[in-house]
Amino acid sequence: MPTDLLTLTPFATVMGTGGTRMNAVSVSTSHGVDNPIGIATIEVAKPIPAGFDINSTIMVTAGYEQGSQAVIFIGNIAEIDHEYGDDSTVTFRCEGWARKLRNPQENEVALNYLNPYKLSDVFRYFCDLRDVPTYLVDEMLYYLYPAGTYWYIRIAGNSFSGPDTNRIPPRTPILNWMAQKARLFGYRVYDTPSGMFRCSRISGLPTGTPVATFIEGENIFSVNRNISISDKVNFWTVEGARFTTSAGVVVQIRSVPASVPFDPDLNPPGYRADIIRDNWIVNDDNALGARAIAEIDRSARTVTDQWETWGNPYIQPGQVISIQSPSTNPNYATDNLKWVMNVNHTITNSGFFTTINGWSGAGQVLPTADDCTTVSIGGGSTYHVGDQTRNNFRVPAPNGTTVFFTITVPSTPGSVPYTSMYIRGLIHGSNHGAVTSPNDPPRDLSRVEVWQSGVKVSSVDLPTYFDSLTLSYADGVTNWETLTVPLPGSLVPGTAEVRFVAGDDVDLDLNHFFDDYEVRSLTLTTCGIGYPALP
Amino acid sequence: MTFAPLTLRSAPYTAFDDATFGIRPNEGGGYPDWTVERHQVSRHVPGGGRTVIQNMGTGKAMTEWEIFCDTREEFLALLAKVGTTGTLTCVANMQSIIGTRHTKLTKQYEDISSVLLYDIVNIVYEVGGQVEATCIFWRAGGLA
Repeated sequence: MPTDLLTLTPFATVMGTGGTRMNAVSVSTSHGVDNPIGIATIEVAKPIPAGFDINSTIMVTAGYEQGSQAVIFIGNIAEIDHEYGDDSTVTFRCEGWARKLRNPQENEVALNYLNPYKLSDVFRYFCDLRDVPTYLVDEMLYYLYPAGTYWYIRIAGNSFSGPDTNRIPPRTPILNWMAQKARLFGYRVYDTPSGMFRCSRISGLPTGTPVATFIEGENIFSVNRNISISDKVNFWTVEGARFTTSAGVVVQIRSVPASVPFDPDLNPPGYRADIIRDNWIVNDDNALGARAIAEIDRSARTVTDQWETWGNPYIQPGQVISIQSPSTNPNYATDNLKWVMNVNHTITNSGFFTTINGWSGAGQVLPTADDCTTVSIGGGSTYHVGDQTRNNFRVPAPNGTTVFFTITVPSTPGSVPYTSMYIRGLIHGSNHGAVTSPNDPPRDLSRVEVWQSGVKVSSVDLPTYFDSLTLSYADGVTNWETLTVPLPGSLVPGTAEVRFVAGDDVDLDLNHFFDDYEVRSLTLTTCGIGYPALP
Repeated sequence: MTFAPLTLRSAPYTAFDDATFGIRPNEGGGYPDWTVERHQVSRHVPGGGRTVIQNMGTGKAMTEWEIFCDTREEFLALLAKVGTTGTLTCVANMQSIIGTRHTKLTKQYEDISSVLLYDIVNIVYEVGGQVEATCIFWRAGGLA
């Protein structure tokens, strides 16, 4: 431990547009990753030079005569407070460059609904749109756990999911939108003392070399460690967009863990649940990514360190530092790397001091539950619906003009209603020669009916597929098509009946009156039933 | 044979701008110097042996002189300058601020610029016409 008298001569300069300087009585600045707009409060003695008005640019540098100086604030004057009395001063309240992103756009901002965008490119677009003078948006990535690979976080680009997933509504504060979307994936947007608007990853345990080390007994005047479980959640559900595909299947983007470990901090009952809902999560990858971030950053105790040192103008939010305080952290030797969450500087007659808040996320990603189950219908065999023997069919003799299958609608644990149910399989020949003009006589189409408790709850016409008398449908999947039939949400858990019904035949065959087609490899898929095993 | 304490009136050119006055020495016969406000902040680093001292600059220098004027008119000329900033002329080498030196009537004086005559207090009119008072002078920048 050093034993010395460390003598420092701090100074601060406040400069306006054109290099005009002011003598400051006091300066305080605040920058934080969860408070995107940096703030400075500058008190100066009267008279002030001309030209300082609302929106004037102000820059504050601070340092020591024994060393170099650094910028601790750049921004614009947002408020001016004149005071006359025993101490006649003027106080400027200033805001950093992020203020340029605060005001909403009058018109909606539409992203491409066919091709997804990198979220980092969308952020850069807004910074350019609003003339943010200096910014750096990191490539926003989601790291696969534990494979170590990554993919770019992309948004929009789902043509089925509706306008609220690819359009920012009018009058949405842009900065709020950016902060919320960044936070989903473990990133933050924020001003920095150096003047650069940043978007960077602040999640989990920091890695790399710390930019500064703070050691008890050397360069820390005071340190406080707060440990809390008030924000601790270990059972996260992420729900994104809900939409209907072209096949009529309802899709609910959703991610849940396969199981939730017992946590004594949250006992009883040993877990705490919360849900993240965001319509901009339009694919399973993003839902998984958002849930992983929530588990990493919120499923462990929240530990925040706050400490004070003499003025250090070089520390920026988002950096990695090391704090080693045996008095507040017995595990300081291995647990000392923290993200800088807040940096506050004060310069007054009482000296130049810096207060820093540090944090790290210590949770673990849980394995993902399967949100859908798939069961076979009819053993996966081939069924010929109709009334005509067809030698080119896989099953030449018809099974009947109506083929019945019994299915079981599953009950869901936790009484979570399923989000979609559909039948998939292979098909050929249905509704061949269907109605093509208004002059054609009406006909019954081949269809799939769903019955439960003696009541027909739905009827879906099958698509029209070419039916050839010469092509062979017997081998492999040649000449077969994919079938997807959505089932109604009104089905209740229990037994139900699926009927493949033959419609009218349009062939000029006086002995056969029904449409002939085949189905095979039928499965029933139920989604939205993912629910973890709870302690 | 006793000698009366030296009165610096023997230096007739001591003045604040063009308002002349005489300076009485203090009881010990000395000439009071300037006192300087020093803004130094010290904080100890707990758990170690380090103390951090931040020098936040020097404030005003201040001095109080016991003065006298031979006539009320001379005193009123000085009194009119309270609150103004001007040049303080005093005998050379009798205080810590180094002023611009010059010689008058074989005596050396120093001119100290940018001095504020902050106040005149303890004013006493003596029988016989002399006026005695205490002048308080301020100056920015310490002893520089």
